[in-house]
Amino acid sequence: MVEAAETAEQQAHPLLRVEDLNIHLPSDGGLLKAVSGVSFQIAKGKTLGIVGESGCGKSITGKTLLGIQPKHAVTSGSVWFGDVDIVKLKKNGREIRAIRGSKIAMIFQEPMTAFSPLYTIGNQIIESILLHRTRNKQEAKGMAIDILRRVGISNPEKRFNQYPHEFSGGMMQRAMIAMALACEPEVLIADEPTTALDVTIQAQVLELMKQLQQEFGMAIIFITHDLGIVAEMCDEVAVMYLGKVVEQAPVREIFHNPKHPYTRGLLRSIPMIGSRKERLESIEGTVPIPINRAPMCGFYERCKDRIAGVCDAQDVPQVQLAENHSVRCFLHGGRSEGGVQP
Amino acid sequence: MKEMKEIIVDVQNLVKEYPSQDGGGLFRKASAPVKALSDVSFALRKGETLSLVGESGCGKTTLGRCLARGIEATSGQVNFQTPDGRKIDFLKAKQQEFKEVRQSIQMIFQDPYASLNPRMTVYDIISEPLRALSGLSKTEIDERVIEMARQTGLNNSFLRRYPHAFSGGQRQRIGIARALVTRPKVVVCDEAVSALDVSIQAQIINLLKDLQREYEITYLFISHDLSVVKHISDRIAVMYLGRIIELAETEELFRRPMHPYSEALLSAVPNPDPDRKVERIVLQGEVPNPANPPSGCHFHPRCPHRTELCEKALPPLQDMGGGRFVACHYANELTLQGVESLVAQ
Repeated sequence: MVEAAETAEQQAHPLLRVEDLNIHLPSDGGLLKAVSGVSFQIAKGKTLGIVGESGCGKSITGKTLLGIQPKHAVTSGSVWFGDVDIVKLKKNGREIRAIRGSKIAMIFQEPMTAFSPLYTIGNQIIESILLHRTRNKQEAKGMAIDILRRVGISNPEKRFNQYPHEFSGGMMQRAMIAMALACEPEVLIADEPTTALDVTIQAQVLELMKQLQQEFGMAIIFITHDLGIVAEMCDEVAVMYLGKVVEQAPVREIFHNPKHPYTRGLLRSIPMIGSRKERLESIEGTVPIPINRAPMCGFYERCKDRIAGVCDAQDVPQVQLAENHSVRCFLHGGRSEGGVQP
Repeated sequence: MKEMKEIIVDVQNLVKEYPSQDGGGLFRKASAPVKALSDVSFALRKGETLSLVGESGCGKTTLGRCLARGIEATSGQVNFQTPDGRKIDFLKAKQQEFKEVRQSIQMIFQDPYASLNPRMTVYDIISEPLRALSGLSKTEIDERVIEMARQTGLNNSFLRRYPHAFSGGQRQRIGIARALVTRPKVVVCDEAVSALDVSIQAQIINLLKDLQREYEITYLFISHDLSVVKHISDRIAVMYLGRIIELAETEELFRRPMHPYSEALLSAVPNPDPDRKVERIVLQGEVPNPANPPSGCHFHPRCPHRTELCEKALPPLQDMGGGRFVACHYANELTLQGVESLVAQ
């Protein structure tokens, strides 16, 4: 429920601001740059979509916002939540635990593996309520049953005492959403929340998320590979490729005026229900492995418009095309000033 | 309507039941079997792509596997038309006939990581069907494998390597080469592109189409992704709880579905166009348990148009003309929304 007048103010004071995030994973073969130079922000009540193919770094980015990371990851940059920098917080310290689950919550891809099979659904939902909202068990149970009812689980009093194996996939995902929303978070990170579900159930869950967003006014970061869902759910989109945001724009810009060759290729390679095409335009080749990669455009090998000697010689800077449309591609500038960087 | 091509596989009254047990332990009592497929009949025409769509548990994979005899059906017939005009019921075929039809009906599987033996080289994987079924000489097999690898975009040097060295897209190419090396007439593609990233998915779909054109292959394409199905198929069969509830030409089905479940299924697909505003039909509830299907029409508990009749009588699959079959009591009365009419373009 965002009023038009509020929007400008919210742009200036986003809820969550990611600045120049880098996540490097040392591995046997060398340094794997999982995420480099990622920046974005999100305002109250808005939905940001992070899209990309497997291995592009979208999930690890989402988890970093909660301070969950692989042990050996080397992270730099900042994730500002209010005036707290989440990256700087001590792992599992008091401060991050006060935020995680309460202010920022997450929905995972596989609801079946996100719940422990040994505890009842109710038990797992009240865990975070007891931690953040109340110490009274009866009161917590009431809140949990209430939230289960609101995500559309019928007979929540009975469901509360059931174990995960007694739930179907769609019900589990609802329970997962209930668990994430139990503490009324300000930011919800949804990592492929409907990928494991059937289309009719997916439609139910997406409707539910939209409705709950209106009710609670939370910001949603929607991590997905499905451009259909992006078109439907998101206000703004960040397209990731090989650990970098290659293009970022409002959703209509991305679909109607894509600038980066990867975004264009991606849009052309999906079969659209409304169109009649004999052949799909595919992107040739496969995603390279980002270990020990020289500073160059990550999409270089697969790009039809690549410029030899330019795109493979240096890192591509972010170019601001319009107020809220940025792209990382030399076709759209960023070449002349500063000369070749080492 | 396009001209009717000759029928290559004729499936009659296919039934697959799984025994089920209530409770556990020593005194478990046998109960009514779970019907994964009940009385499914349809025909595949030469060179076409027929897609099977439906949600998990609707029996689409079971149907594909029964057809290729990956699992044995409980009853029914799969009549295969050989090139020289004989008719063989594949489900009863033995020895020589079995080998003959097996070469003609092949499968491509969903998971490119699980469907290739990690201890076999790519050459061994691709050549195995020929070694098992064809009786060709070693040099002939060699030629066929190399030819097939070339056509599926696999480099010759790949043939000596093991599957772990390949990405998902390349593995799926290996799976396709293995399925097509016997020059089959019918290929069952069970979610063949579902596990792949979109940019790779487009490459594989194009490859499947090219190979179809070259060898006049018939595909039975099993998928839950309706945008892919729309793109690749000539006809679509919609399944629900072990039955085909609607079968129609692709364009027709998307323009005007005649079963309420088809309508809801089509409208549930998110369309990649932010300007499209759709009145989405969100179905209530979930797919019922096939061990205990609802009375009458299996879809009635979720159907917005249900009447008393639907709760009592199971609607048969009726021929509506124009190559369309629908299993709904009110197929003629209902006017349902297709997707085409919703997309303003």
